[in-house]
Amino acid sequence: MNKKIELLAPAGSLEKLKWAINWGADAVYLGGNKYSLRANAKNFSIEEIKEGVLYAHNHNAKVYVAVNIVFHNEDLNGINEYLKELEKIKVDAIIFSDPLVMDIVNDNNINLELHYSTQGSTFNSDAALYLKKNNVKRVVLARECSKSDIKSIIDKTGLEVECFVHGAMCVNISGRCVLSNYFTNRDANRGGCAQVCRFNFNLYDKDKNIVSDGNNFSIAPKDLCLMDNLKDMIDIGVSSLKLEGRMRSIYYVSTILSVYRRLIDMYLSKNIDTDYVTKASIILNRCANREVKAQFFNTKPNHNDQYYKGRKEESNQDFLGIVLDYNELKKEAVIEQRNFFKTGDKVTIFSPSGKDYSFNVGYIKDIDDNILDAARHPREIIKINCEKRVNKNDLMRVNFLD
Amino acid sequence: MSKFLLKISSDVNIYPGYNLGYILGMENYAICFDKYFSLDELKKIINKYPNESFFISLNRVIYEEELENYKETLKKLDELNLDGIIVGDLAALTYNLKTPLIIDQLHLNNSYLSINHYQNNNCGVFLSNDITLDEINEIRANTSAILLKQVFGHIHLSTSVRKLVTNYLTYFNKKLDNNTHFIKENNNGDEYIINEEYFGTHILTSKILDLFEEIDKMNCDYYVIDTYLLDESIINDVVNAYVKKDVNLIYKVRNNISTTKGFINKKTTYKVKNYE
Repeated sequence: MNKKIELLAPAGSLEKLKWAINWGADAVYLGGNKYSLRANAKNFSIEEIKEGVLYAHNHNAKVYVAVNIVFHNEDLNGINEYLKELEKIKVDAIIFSDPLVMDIVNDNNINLELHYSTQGSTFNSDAALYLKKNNVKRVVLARECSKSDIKSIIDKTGLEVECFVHGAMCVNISGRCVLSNYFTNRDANRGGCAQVCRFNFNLYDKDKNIVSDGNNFSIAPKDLCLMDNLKDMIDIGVSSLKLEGRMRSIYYVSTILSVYRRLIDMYLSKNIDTDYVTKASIILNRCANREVKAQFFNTKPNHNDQYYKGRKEESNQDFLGIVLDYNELKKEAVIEQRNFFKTGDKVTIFSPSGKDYSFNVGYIKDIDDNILDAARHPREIIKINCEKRVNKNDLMRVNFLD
Repeated sequence: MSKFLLKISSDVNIYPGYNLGYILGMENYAICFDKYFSLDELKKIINKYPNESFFISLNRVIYEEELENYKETLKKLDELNLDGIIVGDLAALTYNLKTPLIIDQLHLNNSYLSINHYQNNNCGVFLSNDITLDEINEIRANTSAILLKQVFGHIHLSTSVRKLVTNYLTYFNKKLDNNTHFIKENNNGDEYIINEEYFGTHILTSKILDLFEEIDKMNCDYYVIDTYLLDESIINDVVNAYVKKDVNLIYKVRNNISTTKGFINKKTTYKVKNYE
């Protein structure tokens, strides 16, 4: 039996933290109001982090706080106190990229576990050993590392290694890109990244003749998906599998989590359901709304792993609603609607337990039991037939598998 | 006393008698140089100019499979009595080299506490281009680490290990006929260089950083004239203008190029909400 591997999920807000833990995350990572790289996210106050830590610990999960900006002088004021506050509320680790953070923690004997961010772009075992010498316990490797790189780093350092397995990725070496600063005046390494790598450009040759077809030149990479490589990652000793997406929706995070949770548990138990593996791939592809690739894991990416203008995007109207309640007597689910559906549609209700239930919508009623032909209004509370018992906070989506 | 450092592509660019040192790119381990030198080539140049100071650059991240040769190369460089070895990967800090290491992580050396971390490991730093003059002076006031600062040349913005232009051209069945291209985005309007080389793809400003007037307001140890992708014809004038503080000459240079002060006089925005 392989050792337990951690499934690490993003928590863009306190609500999302709870969802992530309920949907199978062993740990979550989040950003505080200060010093985190997602300045535009709904970041956490200290009180919210405290509540999140309590919730997580009560559910045997961990909380890692990103303190991963590249500091300027003006950011230094208050960082010691902030780290001490994180220690006090018992966060399980901090994720950092600037070496001053580990100096402050080490010099002041602050009891915080140190995880070195992917922003630091660790590509090799000697760099990792330098971090280990500075009391770093875990390294989030550069997304450019291959399977053999990862294995060698684990074998040579004995450090915990965390790897991204799913989600959007930087096209440039992380932390060493300031396109956002120069194109938009938003500081990429202090939370303001404008994702210039997703923009479209005109491309010119050295004599300034246009080469591209209009502005269809882009450097955007397709998203990362290592679903097919999970077994390898478990076998080579990766400690933590990280999902990208602190800005993502509850539906996205819950869906991705439910798939990876089930796949990891299957591989660990050696009880592989090949039918589900096929379905999992379809679910992940639809949920991301972008094409996915294994990127650097097996081989260096090529022209097929990059996006150009006119990229193919699947519909993202799959998320139909959240289960609020279930009436055992009437065999009826109460749903908060998210996207349009109508009587006769095939839907699936899926849950953290991994047991999906697919059925045809036989009727839709409003809260006063008036019959509706369709659920048209976002966040409207409705009732639908549902033979099988479902639970609060299960999610309903289009049945695209049958 | 401060000194200028010039990135060079051959010993033709050495100026005996000038207050000038030289940065040369190490074959296989440096990025953003017009020419990379083998160890033998480096030794020849260094031996030919015993009175000049030399820094050798290995300013990129290193893959796991490269580590053994990388370490061996650093050990050999360590015997050359260099003024410094510029490195882009923390691995170099684990090899107990006697030559001063200069940490060049491109955009990560932005505060004095970060820099003091490296100073405590007997390292200097290549300052980021993304900080202001005031920040540089505050750093200087709070560290005794060796500080390098680029004062002239295209500004590095990003490096990808992917061949981004080749990929695009391949996708549309076109061929790459030159490593250097330009990109322009409609809203921004400025032009940027996108350049491929052995390691991947770099994006740089098309405008040239020119901090001629700011040098006297800074107190760094070395000011770097970065010649990467510069027109060879202006380099001599740039060197003479900077080293001799020749105002007329720098104006002459500026007549033929488009320059920028980068972020030396303005901060980049932190919070998106503040910006909007």
